[in-house]
Amino acid sequence: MSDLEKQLKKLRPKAVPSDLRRVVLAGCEEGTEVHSFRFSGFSFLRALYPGHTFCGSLACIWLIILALHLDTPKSIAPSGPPISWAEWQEAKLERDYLLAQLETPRFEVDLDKGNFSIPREDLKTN
Amino acid sequence: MRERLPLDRLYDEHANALFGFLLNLTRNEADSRDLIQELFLKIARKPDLLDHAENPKAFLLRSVYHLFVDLIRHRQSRDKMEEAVALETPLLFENPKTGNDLEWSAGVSRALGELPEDQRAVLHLKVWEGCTFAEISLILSIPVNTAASRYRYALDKMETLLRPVYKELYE
Repeated sequence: MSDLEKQLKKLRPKAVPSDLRRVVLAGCEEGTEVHSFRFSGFSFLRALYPGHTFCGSLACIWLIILALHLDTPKSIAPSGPPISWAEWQEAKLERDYLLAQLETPRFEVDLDKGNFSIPREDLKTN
Repeated sequence: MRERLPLDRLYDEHANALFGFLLNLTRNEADSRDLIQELFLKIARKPDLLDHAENPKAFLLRSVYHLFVDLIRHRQSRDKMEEAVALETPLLFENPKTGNDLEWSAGVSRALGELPEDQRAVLHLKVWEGCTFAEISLILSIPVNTAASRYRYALDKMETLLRPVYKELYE
């Protein structure tokens, strides 16, 4: 053994911090109890239903849930905050109403003659 | 099959070796803590992992080495800056009593940082864990000859880096 090796051996690597034991062991206990939530897809389902062999059908359900989740818009604006399902429904109704309004002619335009007229029913209401 | 040790006894027997090894590799205490936590969580979820291991210490060192390699790959693709910060101030050894020894300890820590990770891993296992080259080859998944040559390269480089420090402090 060279002198350098002897000198290096004299140094003692830093010991593991005393608080880590409690953290690790508590983490292991907690981790094994809730570990199903750390997984996704098949692992998630297997963790939920250990010992069962119907993972295929459960995976289908999982995929449907995932598809529905992906299909739900997270916000009206692309960078906006997430919205709830109820808010989404409300926004959708509002959008449908506005589209319906747009489709209803409010003005009758005669391009050939360069003039327009307001429908009679609008004159009555306003 | 070996007798299965409870997790707390396993921790008590091997945590120091794992922590020292990880600290030398990651050069960051928080990462070392996280990797130890990750390893023990894996064992807690699959307690039969160690049942067929002939040498539990080598198995655990090998497992944390793989976790370290995963961490490095993840970092390299994600955040090199963070890694650079982690390499700055390592405290790898217990504080010695005298000032000269303290300087020596700091010098060795710095010099270890200059080594490539694969050489550092071999050097640590050989010098501070007393592993044979056969055990090192098992832990790091490399041929025995490669382990031996990496050790030789690491020692040569450490000698070059530490000679001026040693002369200044002890001669």
